[in-house]
Amino acid sequence: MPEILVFLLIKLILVIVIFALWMTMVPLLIWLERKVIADIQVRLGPNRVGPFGLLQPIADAIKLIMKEDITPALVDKWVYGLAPAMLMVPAFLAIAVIPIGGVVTIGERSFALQIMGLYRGPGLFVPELDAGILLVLALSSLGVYGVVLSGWSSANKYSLLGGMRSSAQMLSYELPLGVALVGPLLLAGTLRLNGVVEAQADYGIWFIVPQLVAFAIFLMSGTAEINRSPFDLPEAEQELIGGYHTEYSSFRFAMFFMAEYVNMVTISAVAATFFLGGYRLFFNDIVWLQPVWFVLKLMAFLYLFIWVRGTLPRVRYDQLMKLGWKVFLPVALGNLLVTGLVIAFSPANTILVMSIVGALLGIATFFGLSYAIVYGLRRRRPESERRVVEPTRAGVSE
Amino acid sequence: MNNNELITRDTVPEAARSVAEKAGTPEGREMFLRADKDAILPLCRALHDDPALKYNFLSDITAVDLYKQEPRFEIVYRMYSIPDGRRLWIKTAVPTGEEVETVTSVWKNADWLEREVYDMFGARFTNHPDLRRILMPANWIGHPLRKDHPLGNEEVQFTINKDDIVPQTAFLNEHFEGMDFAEYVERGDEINTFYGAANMRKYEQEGRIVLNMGPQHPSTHGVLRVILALEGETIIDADQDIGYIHTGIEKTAESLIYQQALTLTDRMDYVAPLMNNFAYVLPIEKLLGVEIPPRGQFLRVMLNELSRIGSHLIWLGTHALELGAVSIFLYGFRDREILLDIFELLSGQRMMTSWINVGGLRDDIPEGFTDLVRYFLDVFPSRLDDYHALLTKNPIWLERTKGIGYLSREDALNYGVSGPILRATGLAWDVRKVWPYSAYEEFEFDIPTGENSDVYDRYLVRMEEIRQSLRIVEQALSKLPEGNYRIEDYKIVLPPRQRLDVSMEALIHHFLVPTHGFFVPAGDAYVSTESPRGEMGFYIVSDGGTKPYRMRMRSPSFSTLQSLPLMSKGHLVADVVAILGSVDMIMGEVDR
Amino acid sequence: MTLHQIAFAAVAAVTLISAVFVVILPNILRAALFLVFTFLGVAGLYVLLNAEFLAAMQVLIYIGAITVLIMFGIVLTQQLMGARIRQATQVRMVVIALPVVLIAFAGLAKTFIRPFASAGEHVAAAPAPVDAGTLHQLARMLLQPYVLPFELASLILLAALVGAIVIAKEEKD
Repeated sequence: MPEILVFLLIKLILVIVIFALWMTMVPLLIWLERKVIADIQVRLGPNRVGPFGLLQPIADAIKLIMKEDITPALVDKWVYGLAPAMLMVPAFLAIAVIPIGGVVTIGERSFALQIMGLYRGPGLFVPELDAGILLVLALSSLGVYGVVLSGWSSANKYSLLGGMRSSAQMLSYELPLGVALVGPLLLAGTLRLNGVVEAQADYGIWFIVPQLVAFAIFLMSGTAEINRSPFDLPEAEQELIGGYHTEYSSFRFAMFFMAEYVNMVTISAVAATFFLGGYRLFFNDIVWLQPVWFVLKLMAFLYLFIWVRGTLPRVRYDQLMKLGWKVFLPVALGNLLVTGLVIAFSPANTILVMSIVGALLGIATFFGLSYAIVYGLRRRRPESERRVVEPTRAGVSE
Repeated sequence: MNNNELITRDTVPEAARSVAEKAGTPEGREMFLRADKDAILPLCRALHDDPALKYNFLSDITAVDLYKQEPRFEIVYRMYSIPDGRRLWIKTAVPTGEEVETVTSVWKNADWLEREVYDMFGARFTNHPDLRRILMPANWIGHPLRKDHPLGNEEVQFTINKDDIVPQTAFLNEHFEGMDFAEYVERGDEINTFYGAANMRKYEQEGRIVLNMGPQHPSTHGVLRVILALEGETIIDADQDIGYIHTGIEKTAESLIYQQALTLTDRMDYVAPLMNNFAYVLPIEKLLGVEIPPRGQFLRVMLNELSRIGSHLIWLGTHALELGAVSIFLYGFRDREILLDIFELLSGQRMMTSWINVGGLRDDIPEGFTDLVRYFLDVFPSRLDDYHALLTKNPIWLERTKGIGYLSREDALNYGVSGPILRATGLAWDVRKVWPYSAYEEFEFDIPTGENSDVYDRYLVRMEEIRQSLRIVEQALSKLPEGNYRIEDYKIVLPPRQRLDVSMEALIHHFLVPTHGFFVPAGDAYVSTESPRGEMGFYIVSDGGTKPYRMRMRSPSFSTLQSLPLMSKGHLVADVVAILGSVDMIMGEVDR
Repeated sequence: MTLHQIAFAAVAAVTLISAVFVVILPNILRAALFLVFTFLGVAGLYVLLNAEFLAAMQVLIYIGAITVLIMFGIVLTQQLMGARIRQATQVRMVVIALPVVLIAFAGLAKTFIRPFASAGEHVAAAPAPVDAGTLHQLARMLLQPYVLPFELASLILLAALVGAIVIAKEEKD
């Protein structure tokens, strides 16, 4: 068998396995979200279809697909049809670079447990693209198109406002998202996700400690990037009905829905890889068990997203932008600067120094940001209107 | 001042002086004037501007149709001096086809009130800035509250007979002459955007976005339609279109006996139905001249305050929901569930209880009622603390509510805004304290006030009102007097069941009271009450019969809603949602 | 043909066809949409040339940021302000221009690049770089021999940024 066919065969099997993993995560996530939210909100949640309502997502999917697909009269049909695909395809492509396990050896061939890989001639399986994390960021930036085009083509002002908000939001949050990841990348010394995981195992510490600030920024920017509550403005149903997908129904709506959840899993996967040591535990373990650790770490982040959604109110559009540009980006850049300085001036025990500095920085940033948000950034009324009215009870007859 | 004396345009200064002389005396606390229709505007201006009088709050403008008499319409103005707590009525007679001068230049909220009078009675107002229909559709023919306007039997429009129904066709011909379906589709957006809001068209011509929010929008609490002119996402102007659930309750009530009309009031402010019952029976009892026994009064107060808590819980839930905090919504409904259980135990009904009747209550409280109320008083305060913990200091919540929807005290009074929104401007104005009704003077409670008059202060005021209501319920429960829960005049209330076996008279009353009703002496009466949304009151005109000749509800949200454009200008679309939440209007009560 | 050549042909076809659509489509939003596909094709070409970093950057910057902004502009102008923008290019002009462009391009290729015949082999026969080589090499190139142009470019971008802010800033009285 030619070498290239072996390569393709292995990758094909991996595609099926990893895709199947993701496709089980999504319904599971939808079920989990509904159950957890229901628990937070003192409700029961789905409990009719299957044991504990586990089959509810499947029932929902069947319902969505069987529904009539409505195309409103005045839409741009071509773009309208394309938009959901433009959102979903990048979401699925980003799965390709996430490593769910380390390097596995079968016989004399070894390969990494991830879809993406390059074949550069006989005997040269490159485990992954050099610029793995760049690809994730690039693909997540492609998601904007689905939103902006669906908003534009729907011929609906609410959809359009949703599309506008979303494109601005996603563009703005790509920056802090990317910059936050540079810190861990500097510590790891590579752009490959495998390398980042292995670096954490080598140092014996997860990057969440030395890069606490980057972790916080990444998590919050990621929430904004995938339009999750409390940053779910593009689809804020209380303001913009459904935002960009107001006019969509049936399978096309299901595609938006699915893309959102796939993105959520992907962001959680990146967070787990960069800050919680990815598929590795602290010690060397069995390679075939590594996907289990990975999924467990992933689930922790998913739970966090759901928890946040059940607790917080939604921020306003301009506040969101302010937060992204005036707070997250400078703080992420500051973190990058500190990380660079530590690496430059203390090459011997970088990780120890960085852990102490990082943890202190994290605590300082937490209090600083809380102060800034509560007292500093609050929108002020113009001076002329800001009259403090004294409470009077004198005039009231008892 | 003797109210038989007719004030003409020439005697306005003397009349104002005469009112001013009595301002400090007990007599001046409640006065009635009759004025010639030409004297209305100067008189109102004098009463409003005179620093000694300062009638700065227009509560209501309404009309009565004295059909077959001439002058046919009697227009009633009711105004208060806040915070002095002086009230003044002005009545004026308007013959058919003649106009009254508008008082919109004196009080801003006269705008909608006069539009409603025009819409319902066809009485026109000279120089009114925007005199068009407000509750009825633009294509309606006739004025429904006129006595000669038929009630019922109108043909309902369906696809099969849509062309036969005159108003619709007439309207389409007038506005969209000869338009075929294809063109309608092409211009559908434009037609829908400006239906009933042609005044906003100028913004589209300037190249702004005009956005229709509602009537089917998740954040407009039912079917309010707000038309927003936007610059980006910033609001430069707004207009509202109401009347989507106008069901003609005031008209229907005229054909029902008093007890039957009571059930209609449940459906106005459907979030706190018992308060409507309460507000409705008070003027009737005033006309009848009956005094409710203390137990009845205390129970009324207790039910009233429980309703207030229930209403505020819905407000809290929906307000938080609209700002994205979905969980609070469900928590609010969980606690309201206990209140609904209480009402169900009381009456068998969860919402439309109709439990407060003319003469007292429909029945005494059942066994287990006090236990259930105690249970609520035990569990609820700690949950209220939880909601404070989730929202009050939450940075996102602060960001969304602080400094949003500012309304100055002058504007609030000018627009007839009452209730928590007025209190959030720092004015401790509460009808329960100012003009205590029922037994409110016997309870101890505070009036929470705000300082900055923004969405956040309204939130704090309402949250504190829940606590104060809890205090009142607690007091009512512990001091609940023994005795009868209603009057013993069996011409008004039903005789007790066991008397039917021994008394022929009781049997007759038992038949007559529910079928024929009771006679209410001729006259008119109005009593203010404090609803969760502000001053609510019913104006009842009786001709001595068993049915109200005219029933008019002064609904607080109707006035408050008018100030929405003022509050939302310069804010973002997302803030309108926050502001609407802080206004807490119930469309059933606005449209009636 | 090798696998590599098939891939190259497919990516090149996508790039060129999309590019033609960008020029001839009357609906400007759809034209912008095809610009996305053109850029994607170019990114694909970079991957075939073993320049993954450049490919990722192409997607991240040209598609993820620049074209989004173009589209943002179109959407805002067309829908909200009621102005209907149509592309001015006429198909007739394209037909005239196409041979001219082709001849010019062939001349350039003849002059600057090696003959077509050996182009494919050149790529296929290129020595496969070692793992993680390109990125490190790129970084070294940018920060050692070419550090001055690199820094100059960033300076120019900074100047452009400041300029944009100055222009966009509202004048305050």
